[in-house]
Amino acid sequence: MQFEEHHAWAPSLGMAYHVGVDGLGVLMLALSALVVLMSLVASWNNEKHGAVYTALVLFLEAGLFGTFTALNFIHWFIFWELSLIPAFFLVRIWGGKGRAKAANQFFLYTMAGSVALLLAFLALFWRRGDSILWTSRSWRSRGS
Amino acid sequence: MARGGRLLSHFQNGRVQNYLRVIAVALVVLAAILLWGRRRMITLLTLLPIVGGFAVLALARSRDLARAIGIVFATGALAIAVLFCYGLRSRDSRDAV
Repeated sequence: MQFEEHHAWAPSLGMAYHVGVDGLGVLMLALSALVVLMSLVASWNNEKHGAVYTALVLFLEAGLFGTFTALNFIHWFIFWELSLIPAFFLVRIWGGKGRAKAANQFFLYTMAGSVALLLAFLALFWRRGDSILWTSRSWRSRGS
Repeated sequence: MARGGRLLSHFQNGRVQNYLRVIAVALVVLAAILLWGRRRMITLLTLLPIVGGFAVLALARSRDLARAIGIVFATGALAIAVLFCYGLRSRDSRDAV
C-alpha cells in the first residue's frame, strides 16, 4: 500500500479517514482519469452538454477516486453512494432513447445492491462485535 | 507579421479575454490546491474534481468555458494519477535494489 493517509475521524467509534493505493488501485485511478478526460473532450461539440453536465462528470470522477482509494468500509460506502448520484442524473438527463426507464432501473438496482451490501457488512459487524467495519487495520491485525 | 497581428488580435476580442481570465483563475485554483496537497496526494486527487465541478458551476458563463475548465481539472487529475503510477514504479525499483 502506498501514499497512505491516516487521520482520526470518529475515534469513539474507532472510525478513521484512511486512504491509500496499491498496484491495482493506481491503475483504476489512471483509467478513470483518462476516461473522464476523453469523455469531456469527446463532448466538446455536443450542444446539449453545458456546465451542469461537465460538473456532474467531475463529481462522478471524485466519487470514483474516493471509491478506489478507500481503505475502510464506511469511507468506501459513502463515496460509492456519492458516485451514484451524478451517474443517475447523467443517464436521466443526457441519456439516449429510453433514458427515463434506464435511469430508474439503474437507481433501483444499485440501491438494492447497496442496501444488501450494507446489511451484509452490518451483520458481519454484529457477528464479530468489533470495529472491523471501520478500519482496514483491524482486518490486517486479525489476519482475516 | 500580418498573420501574427491577426492571430494576436483574436486575444483582444472581449469574449476570448473573458475566457482567458476565467481559465487563469481556474489554473491559479489548481496550482493552490496542488501546493496544499503535495503531502496529501490522495485527498488532493479526490478533492480536485469536486473543486473543478464547483468552479465550473460558479465561473462558467458559457458552454465552451465550462468545457475548458472541466478539461483543465480533468487533465490535472490525470496528471496526478500518472504521477502515482510513476511513484509506485520508482518505489518498487528502489525496494528491488
